[in-house]
Amino acid sequence: MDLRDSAEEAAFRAGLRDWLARSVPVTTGTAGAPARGRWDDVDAVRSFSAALHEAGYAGLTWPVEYGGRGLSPVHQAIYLEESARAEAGEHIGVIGLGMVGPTVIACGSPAQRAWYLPRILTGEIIFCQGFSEPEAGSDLSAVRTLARRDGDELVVTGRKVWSSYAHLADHCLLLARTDPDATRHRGLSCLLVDLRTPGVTVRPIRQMTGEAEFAEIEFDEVRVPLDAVVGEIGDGWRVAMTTLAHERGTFGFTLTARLEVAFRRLVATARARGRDTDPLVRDQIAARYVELEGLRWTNRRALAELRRTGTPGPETSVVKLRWSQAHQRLTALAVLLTADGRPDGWDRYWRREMLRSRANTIEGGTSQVLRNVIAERVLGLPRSY
Amino acid sequence: MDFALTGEQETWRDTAAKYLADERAAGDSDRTWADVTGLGWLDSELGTVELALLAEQLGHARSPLPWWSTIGLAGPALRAAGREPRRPATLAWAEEAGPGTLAALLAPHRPGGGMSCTVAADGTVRGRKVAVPHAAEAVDLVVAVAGPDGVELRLVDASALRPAPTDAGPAGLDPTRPAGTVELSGVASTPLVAADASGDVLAAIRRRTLALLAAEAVGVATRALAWAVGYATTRTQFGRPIGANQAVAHPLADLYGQVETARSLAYRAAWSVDAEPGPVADRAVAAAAVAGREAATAACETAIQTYGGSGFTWEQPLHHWYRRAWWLATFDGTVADLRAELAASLLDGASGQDAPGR
Ligand SMILES: Cc1cc2nc3c(=O)[nH]c(=O)nc-3n(C[C@H](O)[C@H](O)[C@H](O)COP(=O)(O)OP(=O)(O)OC[C@H]3O[C@@H](n4cnc5c(N)ncnc54)[C@H](O)[C@@H]3O)c2cc1C
Repeated sequence: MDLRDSAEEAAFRAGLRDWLARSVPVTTGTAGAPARGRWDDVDAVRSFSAALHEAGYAGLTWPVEYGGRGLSPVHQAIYLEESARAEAGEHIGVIGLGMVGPTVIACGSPAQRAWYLPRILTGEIIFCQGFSEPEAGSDLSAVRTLARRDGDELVVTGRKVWSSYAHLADHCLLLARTDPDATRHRGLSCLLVDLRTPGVTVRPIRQMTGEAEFAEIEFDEVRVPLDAVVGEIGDGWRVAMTTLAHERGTFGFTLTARLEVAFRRLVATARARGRDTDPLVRDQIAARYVELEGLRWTNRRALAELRRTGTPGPETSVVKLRWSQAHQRLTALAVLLTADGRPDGWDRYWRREMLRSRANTIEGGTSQVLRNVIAERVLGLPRSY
Repeated sequence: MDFALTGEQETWRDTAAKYLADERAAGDSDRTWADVTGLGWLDSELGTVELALLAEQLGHARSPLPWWSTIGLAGPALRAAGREPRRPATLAWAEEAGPGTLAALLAPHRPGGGMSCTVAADGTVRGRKVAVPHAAEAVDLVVAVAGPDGVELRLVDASALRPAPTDAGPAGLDPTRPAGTVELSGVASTPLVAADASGDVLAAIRRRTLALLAAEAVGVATRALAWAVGYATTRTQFGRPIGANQAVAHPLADLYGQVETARSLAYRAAWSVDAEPGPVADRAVAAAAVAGREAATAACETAIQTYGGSGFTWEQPLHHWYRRAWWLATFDGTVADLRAELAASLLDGASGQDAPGR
């Protein structure tokens, strides 16, 4: 056990930190509050994504043959930590880089790999994930969107909801039913669909925060070539599970790194509002710190396990569950700290963050579903549903 | 960056677990102490990570051995004086009127430190120490006394004490970890750590002992969780195992998350004690202590609830672990005290951040 960076990791971290210091645009809001809209500007995000790619920081763990750097997950972890600390924006293709790309690497055809992977890396193609439907959220095996075979094409009809960044995306990893007679997860297929195909309509859905980060996607007789299928027809469940495994694997570090930033901001807010001497506030801040540290080091333990065995340890399953609660508690505390009506930017910032955090226990698998997974697969308890 | 136990560390942990699962480990204490020495649990070359792995197993077994007070409390003082802890030992620092906790003793670190226990020029010590862990079993007693230049640490042979230390005994929360009162009525002592070095040694003692207890708490929590999961799998009501109900299963899933994060923090703290002493280790230790203490009580409470009526009986061994969990939760201050310490480190110091290279 040695929790320090190796010489090589330290060099990678130093180089990255240096690059970030030069490349992340500096903007500040009032009273040190985070500036609004800094990463809302799509063009800015795009050009930062291109810069990331040029500097070699996109697709760190992807194989070299597909344009990646072939580095270890430790490097990815360092990248996520440092970029969060530098308050850098995410690559515009978060879903493509973190989820769709790895799925195409694991399950896609050589032609799909050759065409999609380099374009995901550069940010030229932006993906969204179209799994959830009005009747199929927690229970993805209930997906109804139909992809009916017609010659060498599939004809897609149905409706997807809550698809993050769909309004920015031009492609969608779609989970659809190719065999209406097969029950549940048999008879599903995963497709790579170009959202500019006729018959596709994307409608932003307004969220509780007032923003529209996700959208519904309507498919009306959309014709997709057969070679858009990832893996085999009928293999969609396995492909989708690969995607979700990557969602969990990569996001643990991202989430924790962002929580670290949120914690730093919480401390800044407490100071800005002169509440850092209140014993109750201090107790709460310390409690949030313990939660943050617990997540940080649990991620690292899981990473060590991943490096040693090739599969993440069971600890990984708890990160999203505990992170979502930690983030909700942190933002709620911050809103209470800024409840004195002073419009210094922090008030507005934390209100938005608090509201947004309500999604944390829903998106990417609800907390109840995660508890079912832990109870059944990690603790070996009898199935409850 | 590698947060995996080495093969050697795993073997070390497994050997300890195996020994502690044996009947022999619960038997006659002299013989057990000889075993423990033979197993190398007092060896000076052990790092804090190895010690933490042991502490975790001792918590898992809820062992009554005074190993922790020997190696965690007395050990650093003995070592600072060039001695090895060989016999059951402990540290006496709290006084009824003087500073009650190690943190309080460390805080006003000035001559006397507010203590009434004193040492005369001939080396005899006078005074009364309270809440001394394992007071009655310890043979070597490290005593914090007010000397002319400040707090000194001195060694007293406990077997020579008249009257012998009194035990709070089973009236305390955990009868296997009794705390006692030591009357020092002019007893002979030998110097261990002089006043100018005692602050550092006491700080090291506190760091190490809290780190070991955090690991012990994780062991307690792990055992309670395993019991609860076992029971939820086998006990049936309404024609199915109770664990098929989410009202039973979900608290156990949450607990698993709590225990695993506490384990991460405990290992990290143990590593930190040796590798990055100073404020970073202090924060790591305090965070581990908070998480471990909370996990241990929560695990026992959830386990008791999972067992239903039988969980409340004396016959069910759960309450023994629950007692230990509460002992841990109240040792040398509370979780709220530890959080206050963390807050001071995060909010009042020059830097609120740990070095980002880790
Ligand atoms: C901000 C945000 C972004 C999202 N982005 C995407 C995206 O990009 N792509 C995508 O495909 N989807 C996305 N989703 C959808 C998300 O994955 C689903 O909302 C989620 O899986 C829950 O499904 P549901 O909303 O249908 O709720 P339901 O499944 O109907 O659940 C309703 C309630 O019942 C509980 N419940 C359901 N089943 C069980 C059970 N077996 N045991 C116990 N409790 C149960 C749930 O926990 C929940 O509390 C996003 C959601 C949000 C909020």
